[in-house]
Amino acid sequence: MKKRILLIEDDREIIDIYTISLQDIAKFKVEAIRYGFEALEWIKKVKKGKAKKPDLVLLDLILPDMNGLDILKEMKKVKETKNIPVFILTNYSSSQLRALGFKLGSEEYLTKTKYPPSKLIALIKERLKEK
Amino acid sequence: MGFYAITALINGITSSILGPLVYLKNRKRFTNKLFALFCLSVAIWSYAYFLWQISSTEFFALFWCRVLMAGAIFIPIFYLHFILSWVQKTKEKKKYLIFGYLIFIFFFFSNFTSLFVNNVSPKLVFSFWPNPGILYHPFLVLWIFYAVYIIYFLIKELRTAIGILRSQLRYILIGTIVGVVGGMTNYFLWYDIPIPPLGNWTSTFYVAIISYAIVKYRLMDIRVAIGKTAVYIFSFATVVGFGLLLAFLNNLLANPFPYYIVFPFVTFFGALIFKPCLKLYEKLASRYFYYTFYSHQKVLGELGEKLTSVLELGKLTSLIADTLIKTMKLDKTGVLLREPKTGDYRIQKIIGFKEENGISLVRDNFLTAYLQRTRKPVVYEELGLAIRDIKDKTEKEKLEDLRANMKRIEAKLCLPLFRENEIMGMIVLGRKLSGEPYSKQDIQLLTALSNQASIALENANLYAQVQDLSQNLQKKVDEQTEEIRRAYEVEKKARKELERLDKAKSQFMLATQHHLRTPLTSMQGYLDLILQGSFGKIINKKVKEKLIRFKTSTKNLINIVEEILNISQFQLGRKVVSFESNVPIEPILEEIISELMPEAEKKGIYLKLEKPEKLPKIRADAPKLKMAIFNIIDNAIKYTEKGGVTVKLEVTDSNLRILTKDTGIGIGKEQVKNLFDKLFERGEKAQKLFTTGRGIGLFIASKIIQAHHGKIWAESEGPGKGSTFYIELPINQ
Repeated sequence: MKKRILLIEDDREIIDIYTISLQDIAKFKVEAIRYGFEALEWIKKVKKGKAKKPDLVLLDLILPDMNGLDILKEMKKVKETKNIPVFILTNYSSSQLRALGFKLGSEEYLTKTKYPPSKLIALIKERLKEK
Repeated sequence: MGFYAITALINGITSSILGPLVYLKNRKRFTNKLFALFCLSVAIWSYAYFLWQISSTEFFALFWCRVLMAGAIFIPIFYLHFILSWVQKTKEKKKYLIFGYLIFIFFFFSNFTSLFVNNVSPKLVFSFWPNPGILYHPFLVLWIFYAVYIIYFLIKELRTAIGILRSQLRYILIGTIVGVVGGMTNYFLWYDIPIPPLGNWTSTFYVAIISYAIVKYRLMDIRVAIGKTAVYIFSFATVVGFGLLLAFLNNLLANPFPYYIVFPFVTFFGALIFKPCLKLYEKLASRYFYYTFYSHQKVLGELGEKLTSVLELGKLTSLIADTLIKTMKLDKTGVLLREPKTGDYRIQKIIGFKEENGISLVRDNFLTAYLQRTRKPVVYEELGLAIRDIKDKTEKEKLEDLRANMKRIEAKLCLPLFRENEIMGMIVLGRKLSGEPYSKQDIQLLTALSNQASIALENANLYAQVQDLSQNLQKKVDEQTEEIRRAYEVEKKARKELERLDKAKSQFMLATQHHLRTPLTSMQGYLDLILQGSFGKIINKKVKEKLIRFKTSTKNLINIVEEILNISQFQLGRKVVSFESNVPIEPILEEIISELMPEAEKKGIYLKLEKPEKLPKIRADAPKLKMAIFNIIDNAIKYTEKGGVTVKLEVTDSNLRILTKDTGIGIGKEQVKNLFDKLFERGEKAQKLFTTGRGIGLFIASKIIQAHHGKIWAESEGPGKGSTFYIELPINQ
């Protein structure tokens, strides 16, 4: 069965790049959410069993309506989503944000320029293999 | 009853009143006792004289003659003793006193024999006049001698006496001369010289003079007693007079009320009006005769106590001036205080004087210096004597000027106030409303008061200074508090500004990162996809080649941007590292080695890692530390053409050391010093070897290692001899 990746990212080009990479090359099933409120609604749906849980979430930090860390917090509050592995995928290489991300429960804090799709795919596969 | 009897009776009565009054005024004072004894002698002589004058038989006449002589015998010795005691010269003239007492006691005992007063016989208008016995003659000589000596003594004392004493002595002398001369007219008839004792009435005059001296010059200081006695007599007389008037009216109206009603009514009414009469007469005496019915010693004594409880300077000087002026019934008073530093006087309180007059006394420093030297009050009446006694011409002139000035401004007394032997001010007093001069007692009392006033004024001064100081202190505290508050506000503002700036910096950094990385991510991402054939296979080899170069350039651009972003973080003072505890170092190194191995292999050089079996975990920011070590090892690979790079891990007690040893181009001595500077200039060979290098990587590495509280340095034996880079990280932080 194909692994499901949820991409929470607002930039269309990034969505495009990562969707093509992850779907076409890595053969993952990719779903993208562009807004924070949509992500929160998704969490509620998963909680109610109205949406499928992904195998991994790629989370951007800056969304148009909220920051990704709040979404991470919400995910960790809900029983159905708290164990889903989260990789923060961001342009911000702040040590503080990184530490905060880990503290809130993300498993990786990846800078987009350092983790082009090919590198990211290897990392995801490694992680999902363990799972 | 003849003239001589009446005068004798008057003498007797006045002496009888005067003596007890003086004695009761101060029973302990010997001078008062002596004056009372003298008055007793005069009284005995006077009453006996009266009784002798009205005697109808020879027996009683002789008897009373002897009695009157008993009184007369002691008059001169008691009087001399009183004078000597009064001027405090008893010890000096002791021999006169001892001899006098002895001889007059002898005469007293002989008085009751015919040796002294032989008998009586009619002479001139007198039925019974005494005839002298044999001892009478020496007695008379001694009596006259002592009387003359007393006059001589009084004259001598008058010459040197000053102030009130001088005035008193003057009147005593006049009274004594009048009394002695008048009294001596009694002795002519003893020797059958036909001169009647016309001067007998002068004894009364003598008593009147003494009384006058008492009243005006406070002789024996029984003014208050006399005044009170007079007021009581008048009050009593008024009540009795009123009672008699009522009784008279009742009688006139044919006794409408029986005596047993009138008498109690009159008594009751008399008791009722006695006190109001007393108050009325006291008031009249006070207003018209400036009598004070309270000893002003007592009031001034009370003032001394009050002074200690008043600390406010204005109130204190007012209290002093007001009390003095009311109690001593003065027309003017003034209190001046002197500034210790400048010596200038300031008027604190002035009543009656004009301000410029008060200051005129102290305009030149003469009075201050004079008071400082003499240390006693300057009394206007005594200045004449002082001027007479001074030899120095300049001082004489100055004193004369002072005297003239005091006269002009009507100041009668300048009382100095001392503080620690220095003049701190003075109290200037005008004349007494009664016209009396200041007595010795007044001056003594004022001097005692001035001592207390000095202390009180000093305390008030200190209190004012403390008040001033505390107000100033409070002001300074307020100012300081305000300054601190302002400084705090400034700091708060600055801190807010810094926070804002910090926030702005953070936002700037984040925004910069985002805006730079986003397009680069897209570029890199799409290139990757294109090269992977996600958008179709690339048939044209040249296109593919160019795309690969494009990807390489993009990668370089990403690296440059990363370096710039990293430097920017350090430059902006951002907190670059975020520590985690128990970070294992091997995975970091293994990752780096893994990432750089392809590059090393491509160059045909080795890259190896040597590590001990056990490695401690450290407190580190893993990604940043990886970046730093990566830069070092990457550098080593770049600048090595043959041989290779060995990464070695060593552990000491407190440090973990990472050595990166290469067999590369080496570093010159001068370049080693500046290796980790931001603007490090790479050597020519280094530039040729790695043309795109900017020398920033080492700078970033050093900043990261420093942020880890570690050390980083390099050693090289010189160009072409390879180099070793050391990173030392503390194990226990």
